[in-house]
Amino acid sequence: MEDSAPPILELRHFGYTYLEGTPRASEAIRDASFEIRRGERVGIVGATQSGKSTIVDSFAHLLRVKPGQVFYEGRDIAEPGYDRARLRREVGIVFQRPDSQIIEDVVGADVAFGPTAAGLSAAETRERVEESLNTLGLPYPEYRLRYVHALSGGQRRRVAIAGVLAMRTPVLVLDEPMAGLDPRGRRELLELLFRLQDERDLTLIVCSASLTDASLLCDRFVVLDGGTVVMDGPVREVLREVDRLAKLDITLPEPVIGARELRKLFPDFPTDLLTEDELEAEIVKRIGAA
Amino acid sequence: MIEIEGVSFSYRTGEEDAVPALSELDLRVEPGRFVAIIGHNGSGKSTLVKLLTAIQYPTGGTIRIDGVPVDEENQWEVRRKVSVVFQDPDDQLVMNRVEDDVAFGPENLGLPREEIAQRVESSLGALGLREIRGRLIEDLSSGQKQRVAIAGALAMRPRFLILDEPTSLLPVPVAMRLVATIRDLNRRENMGVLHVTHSMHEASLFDRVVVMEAGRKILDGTPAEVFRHVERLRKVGLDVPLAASLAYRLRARGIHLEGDILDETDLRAALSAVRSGPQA
Repeated sequence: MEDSAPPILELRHFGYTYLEGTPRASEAIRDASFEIRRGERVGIVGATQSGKSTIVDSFAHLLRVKPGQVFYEGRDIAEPGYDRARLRREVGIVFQRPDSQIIEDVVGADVAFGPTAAGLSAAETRERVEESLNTLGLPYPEYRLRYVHALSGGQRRRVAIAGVLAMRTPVLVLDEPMAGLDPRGRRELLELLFRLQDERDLTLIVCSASLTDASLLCDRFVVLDGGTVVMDGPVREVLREVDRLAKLDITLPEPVIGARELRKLFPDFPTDLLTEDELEAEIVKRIGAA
Repeated sequence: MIEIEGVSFSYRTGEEDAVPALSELDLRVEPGRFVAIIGHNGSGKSTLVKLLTAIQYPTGGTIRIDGVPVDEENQWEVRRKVSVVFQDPDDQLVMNRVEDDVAFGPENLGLPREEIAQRVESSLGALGLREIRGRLIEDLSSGQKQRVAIAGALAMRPRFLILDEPTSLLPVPVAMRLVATIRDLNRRENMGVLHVTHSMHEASLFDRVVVMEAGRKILDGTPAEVFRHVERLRKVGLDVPLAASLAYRLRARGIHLEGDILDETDLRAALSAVRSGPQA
């Protein structure tokens, strides 16, 4: 059945130039069009300065977007009188540097900041803080009074995510969620995000220069290069275009890199592989067990 | 030569809850070597960087760099021998324009003008930054910023360059080009490099890999020697390069793969030999 509801987010010929009209003007993105349906899990991927962050900022109305280009639930967010405060309650963004969005010294107070500012009661706020911290593997009784600055980078990122989660926004945007984390921190955060997807009806947008974790978290990739959308499709379909992806300055998943190399030996070797297990299975199929 | 002998370090010394960040660490790095240090967060890597750059001092044991003990008295001499580059170039870049930032260190050494100009020139050249020397740093990409930070460190003409996760915020292809540039500098200038990283693939490109865990050195050797310990590394929360891990798994299935397998090319070569080998 055709879904007749408008997409939750939509870009129509979206373009943006920083410092427009000045000698330092730089065009970040041009003519980008795509829609995101409710419940979709989309990776917006591309090299640094490919336009990803500009798109993320446009979703939160952090930029002066031109009319007719960015729509939330079918409504133009740039039209006069549009309720931007409401948009920010609908689209939660976790930025790349957790420190840029943690504003309180103590974990519990930081996660409570959003709900309190939104005017929720103390009881409701407490409940949301507790739930968000528990969800992110920072048990409320143990962590609520901890100092943020004494936590590891991975834990601080989880506090930032908890702060956004406590707002219960239908859309969650994660900008480079894994950057700077060590392998253990990445694995832990990945597990938490999988669980979050299972438990909640979220529309998830992962913005990254790395396809490694995004390929596990998302169903679809929108690939940007030099400010334009160059590919848009299901994750595996995009990974089949490995030679095009390899020309961009992005991190390919290790199984995809391995598969690309093995294609020199086995021309029919598939490259749309997400895990080491899948790669191993394809090798065994061709070599056979000894 | 970096000589670390029986070095321990605890944050908040004297209190009951002192946490040992390093415990009786021994490590020697000869001049001009190209060494990767891996370990998860909290393993003691960053503490080691702080001790080598005289930001903190050991609570036990000694560190000598080219024979100079690293202590408060010698801190300035030590900092002329080692330069450090951190994870986030925004924490390190202080000037507005590329070439001014690269000149910042040598200017603070009070060097003659011509010497400064010459060092800036050669550092910009080595990092491929000549064409953007006049650009504003805020307009650069993260990879370019990290190159500027390294150019600044290089302009100090250190005996050792210490890199504390300089690639962890960069996409892999950008990181690989940066590591290749650093390798080139290491060879041409005979400058020792200690490179802290979470990327096992990167570590496999170094002459030597040191693995830290809970403030101790648990493995130390060539990449081939270190990445043979798949289970041991996994146990302490680290990965091995995918090709090494696959080789381990395929061998466990009874598939005979020849030689050390550290990257995809090694794996392809080994599989190619299996396929064309004598049929049983």
